[in-house]
Formats: sequence, C-alpha cells, structure tokens
Amino acid sequence: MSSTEAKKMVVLKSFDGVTFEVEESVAVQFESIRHMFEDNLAGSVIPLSNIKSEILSKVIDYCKRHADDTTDEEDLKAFDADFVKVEHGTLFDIIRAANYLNIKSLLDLTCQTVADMIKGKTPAEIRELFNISDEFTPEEEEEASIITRFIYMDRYADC
Amino acid sequence: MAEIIENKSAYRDNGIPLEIVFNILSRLPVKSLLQFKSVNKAWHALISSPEFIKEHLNRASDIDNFIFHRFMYIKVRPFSRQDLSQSFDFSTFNKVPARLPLNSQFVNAEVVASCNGLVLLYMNHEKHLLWNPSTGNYKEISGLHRNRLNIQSYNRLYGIAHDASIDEYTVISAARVSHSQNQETIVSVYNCRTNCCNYITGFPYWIFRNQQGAVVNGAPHWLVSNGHGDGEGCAIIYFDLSNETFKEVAKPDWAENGSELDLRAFKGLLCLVQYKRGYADIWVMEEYGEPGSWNKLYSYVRSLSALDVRPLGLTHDDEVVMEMEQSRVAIYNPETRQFYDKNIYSCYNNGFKAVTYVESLVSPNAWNEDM
Repeated sequence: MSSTEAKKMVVLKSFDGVTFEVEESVAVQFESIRHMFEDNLAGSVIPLSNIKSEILSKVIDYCKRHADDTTDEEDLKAFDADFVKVEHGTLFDIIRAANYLNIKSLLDLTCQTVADMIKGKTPAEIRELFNISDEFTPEEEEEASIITRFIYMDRYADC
Repeated sequence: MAEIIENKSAYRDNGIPLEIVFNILSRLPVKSLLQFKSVNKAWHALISSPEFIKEHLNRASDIDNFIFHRFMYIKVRPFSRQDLSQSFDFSTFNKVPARLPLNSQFVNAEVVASCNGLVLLYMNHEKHLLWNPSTGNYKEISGLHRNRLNIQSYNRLYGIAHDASIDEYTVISAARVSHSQNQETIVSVYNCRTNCCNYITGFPYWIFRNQQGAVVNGAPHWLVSNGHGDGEGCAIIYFDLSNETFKEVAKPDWAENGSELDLRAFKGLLCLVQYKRGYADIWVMEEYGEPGSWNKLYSYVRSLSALDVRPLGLTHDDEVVMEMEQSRVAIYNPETRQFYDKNIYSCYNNGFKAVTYVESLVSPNAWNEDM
C-alpha cells in the first residue's frame, strides 16, 4: 500500500451502539464480514449486533497487532499471552466474537487457552464453568468414571 | 455432528455454543475427554461423534503437537501378571498410563503395528488384538495367517491402513510359512468394518526381517527384497487398498541392500535410515512418490558400544529419539552431536521393538457397537 494514498477505512458498530473505525488492512482478518466491505460499500456502517463494545475493542486491538508486519514473533507471543489473561466471562465473549467474525488465529489462541485451563478439571467443575446443567444420574456418572479410572489409575482416582 | 450443531441454539442462552465447545474439546487429551463425557448428554454425544473423533485425531496428529505423540514398549516378563506395557510421550518422556487388554490372561505380547492411535498386539503367540491404548478399547482380529500357530518363528510384515475417504481401517499381515516341503507367503487382509479376512497369494517379494509398516498417507510401507538373500535388491512397497495389491515407491539409487536400511515415517514423511560403518544417515522423501526428492536429514555417529542405535521419532526440537542397544532410549541432538540417555529401559523381543502412536479416540469397534 502506498503511503501517500489515503488508507481505506471500515466502520463497525457494536451491539451497544459504539462505532469503531478500522483500517481495511486490519478488518480483512474478519473473514465472515469481509465481503461486506470488499463489495465497495465504502463508508457504510457494518453492524455487529452480538458483540459488545468492550469485546469488539479488544478484538480490534488483537487484529491491529497481528496485521502489523513490523512486530517480531517474540513480541507477538508475549502480546498473545497477555491478551488472554482476562476473566473467564470475557474470554468466552472473545471466543464468541472470534467465532462469529471467523478470525482463525484468535479462535485458536482463545480455544487453546480454555483447553489448557480445563484439562485437569472434574465434570462438576466443568458444569460450573460452562454454566450447564447436570443431566446424568449419579449411577451413569459413576459408570463413566470407573472406565476412566481403570485406564488412568493415577491422578483421577483421587478426584 | 450436523445434528448436534443444529441443537446449539437451544444451548446458547445459558452457555457456549456447541461448535465452540467442539473446538475447545478437540484440543484435550483423551483422559480429560473420557471424564468430560459425563458432563452432560450433549457433551457425551459430541465427544462420541465420528466428526469429533476425526477432528481430535487431526489435531493430535499435527506434526507440531508432540504432547499427543507417544511410543510404547511391551516388557517381556513371562508368567508375570503385572502390566507389561510402558508408554511415554515425545515431549516430556513421562510415563503415560496404558493398560494392556485381557490383563491377567497373557504371558507374552508384541506390539506389531500402529496407525491413528490404534495399536496391533500379538498376544501369547495366538491372537491379534486391535487396541487403542488411550481409551482401552480393543477387539480381536481373527484369521490373520489363517490362524496358524507358531507364526512367530517366521519373518512377518504387519500394518494398519486407513482409508480416509470412508474412514475404514484394514489390518494387513504377511508371513512366509512352510508346509510340508513348500514355502509360501500368506498375505492376510482384515477389514475392520466387515470383520472379514481375505488371503492373497503370489506375494512376489522376500520378507527378510520383521517389520511394522511405516504409515504415510494412511498406507503402511515396508522394505522387502527381490532376491532371496538378506535384503538384497530391496524395494519399498505399500499396500494399495483400492485394488488390494502391493505397489512400489521409488527408492533412492543408493538403497540396494535392505539389511542395512530401516524404513520410518517421521512427521508424516517416509524416511530411510542407512546404517554404515561407524555412522548412519537419515533420509527423508520430501515429496511423496518423487524419486528425486530423497534428501539427507541427519547423519549421526554410532559409537562403538552402541551397535544397535535406531531412530524412533523426532521431538519438537527436531532431536531424534533413539532406541539404543541394551534396550535403552536416548535422545540425539544433531547440533551438539550428543546422545542423552532418558533412563527408559525396554526389553523387546523378536524383532518387533517400540511402536510409536498418537493419542486418539479412534475406536477399533466403531462399526460394531458404541464405545
């Protein structure tokens, strides 16, 4: 992109009505809405009716950093590590946004973070974290845990 | 999966959409997944679905995902009732739990092949079991070698092939057996979906050594010989599932004598190890099927005391995991050219040594019953 040329901007509007002006070179990472601003609808506002401004601002930050070719890989890793140090609720909101906008690298980063976080948890802890109800009878649950315990006799036996 | 995903809207209000749960869970070790089946029915259905098992396998097989890559030994300790299997991961070299099936009923076991997390066991010199060490599921593969006993005294080829287009596994074995005055190679082809075993005659090669197939693109590859000597005029063959025949892959010009070669699959690529006096070279076929794409990856010195140093796999730092003589395991660092002992001791038998596999949910019984 020539530096003298005016940078093409894309305007995004969050669920709570806040607008964000983003360079097109950053917004191209939003796979699912790419066609909307690439179809020459310059200037029109793209509504993102299920993303809060607080989350959208974080997602844009992430994409800005990842669109910047001058950032070296170590810095980017450090940025990513910091980026996911947020409350669980916020992390899940970012995952939803990344999923909706189809930003693969952000989805990978955040899903891997949750995966690492839940690896050692018990089913009960998972239900609490994911806010889901228990539909199994205690007998059904015991049966599943016996199978796991048989193979993995180590740590889980203590749970 | 389509069905599960469609239900996600019902799920959305109080939780995370199932497609996101799918993404997160596909990154977890099998142990966590077995536990999380009891989170609720939706999670149970998701973790048991073929689409999930496939995605999990894809991630686990990723060449950079070393925490899911394992190698296993079966210790030979006849008449012991203790668990004889030992499994380790490629990143930390910690022992990974794995319990042999039919635990109390056997005195001997060999690991003879592996593919996508499934391992083929030869138990008590009498039966073959297809086993997933990570989930504990197994099934008997009956009819290999027409159920001949004492097959262990002959050289055998084993392999598990996977046809990704229909997600079907086939167990292939070949053994040269003698009856009366004749010798004949019996090739057995066991289809895991139909549970039928076919036999192919007229195998045009000589099996000079026991071998687990090196699986590349879902097909096991072996080194065989065209002559009747100890690996002379060697060829690299694989089993083509589409028409149930053996085909050859272009080998490098210098590869003449199979007795000084080993075939491996590292990072999804076919590799040849060439043993020479005092050192060995590891060659890799960068582009499958292209004879000109065989390139030398590493050379390493075989010290005088370690006469039997065989590469088993690569670590995430591109170090080489080696099986050493006296049943030790060591890491070779190509930069420092040093071997580092990992204090892992195996006792292998009869030419079938360690097996490498990936942690997966793939079930040997996928077509017969639910896990």
